[in-house]
Amino acid sequence: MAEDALKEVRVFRPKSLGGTLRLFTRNPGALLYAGGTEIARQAQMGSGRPLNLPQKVIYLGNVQELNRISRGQRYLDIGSVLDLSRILSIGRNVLPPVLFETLSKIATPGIRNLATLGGNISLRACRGDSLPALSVIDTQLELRTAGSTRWVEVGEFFGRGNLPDLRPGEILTRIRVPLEEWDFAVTRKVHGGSGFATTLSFAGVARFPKGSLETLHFCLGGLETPVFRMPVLEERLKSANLPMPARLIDTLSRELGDALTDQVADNPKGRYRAATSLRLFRSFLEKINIRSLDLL
Amino acid sequence: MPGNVIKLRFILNEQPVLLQAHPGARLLDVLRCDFGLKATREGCARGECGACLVLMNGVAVNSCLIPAFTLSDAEIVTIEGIHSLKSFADIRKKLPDCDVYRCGFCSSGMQVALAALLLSDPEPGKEAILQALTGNLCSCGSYRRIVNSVVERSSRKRRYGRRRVERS
Repeated sequence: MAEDALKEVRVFRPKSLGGTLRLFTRNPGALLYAGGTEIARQAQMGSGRPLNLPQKVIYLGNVQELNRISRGQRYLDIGSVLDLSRILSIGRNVLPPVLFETLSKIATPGIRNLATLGGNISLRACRGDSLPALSVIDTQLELRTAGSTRWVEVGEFFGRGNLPDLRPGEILTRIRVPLEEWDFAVTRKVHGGSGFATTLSFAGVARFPKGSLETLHFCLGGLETPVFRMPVLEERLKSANLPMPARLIDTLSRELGDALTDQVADNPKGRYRAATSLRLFRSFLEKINIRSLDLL
Repeated sequence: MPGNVIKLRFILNEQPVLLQAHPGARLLDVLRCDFGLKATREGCARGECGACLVLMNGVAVNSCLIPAFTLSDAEIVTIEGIHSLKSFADIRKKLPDCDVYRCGFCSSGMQVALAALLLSDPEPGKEAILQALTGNLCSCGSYRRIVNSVVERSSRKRRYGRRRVERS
């Protein structure tokens, strides 16, 4: 076993994005390593023993293009390898509040100084963290190969088996966050497992000038689908007068409850998730009602 | 050189060092076994307890989660460095005394987390200190004593500073 742990590991350390993409095309089975917090947690082999890493590793920490953040009039472009602490240092006046609150609650300060937003989006173990907040504010993800670039919405990032739907040689390079104003935002995380595992998470944003709902987005994370949205429900709520009547909230909650039956297992844990999702949704709508009355 | 060993240069407690190690060797093991710096401790090996915290490029990180291949040109300061380097003299004055801790197992990690905070905020309030310690577990429950000690020591400088101005 000691010999297995000392197997040969070849580490590539590209300094440019172009070099990284060419390397990854030539070595498609290589592990892309940025902050590596979740990878290292799973690769522990015990005291005094090296991490159990694959034969080829591409270390992204020196790639300048992935470590940048740039701000335009309408967007914030965040490099996929930027650590969470550096993203948070931009401040809650620049980062959308729902994203700032979400990122500041991920893990611990030590982990946030290493963990990256790209890793948090991509890894299954982190699914419940940033995805709902990123989804509700219509974040886009840039995916690049050596010869192509495309942008996808957060919900489109996942394909079969709920794994990232990446083409050969493709990596996540930037996260584009729209800088829009919202009248109300909420984010909640429910822990049920060991360590930092998120059982369920919720994010919601709303805009309601002049006493009626102009736009409302909500998203649940940690369910069967990595990013669970209900555009039909969101559309129904558009132009709803505020405060929303209790009957409307009850009807929408029932519809959400029906949709959630495919998203949770038919066991006590699944039923808990469904019930908590409904509570979070109702609470979101009720808080919008209260907030709209405050603004009148 | 064998295929499973790499050579790395980095700065350790303000001294340039050369390391030969497996690429996946944990920084925690490098510090304890290769450099004999045993005050950085292993607790959970999952980044949850904070016992293994060190400063890397000025911020606190869990050394159990850092493989050797990421250390090239990094600046690492361990708890030994915090307690001996001139550059940390001001910070040392604000760290809790050892009698604040009970069994002491968490103390290294706590001191590193506090040093990281004091680097960016020389006079932190209670909330900031609590936030900085969210990644440190203490089974003995010394949190309140630690926080109160740092608050008191950080604000002592403010009181003494004012007194000097009044006298002159």
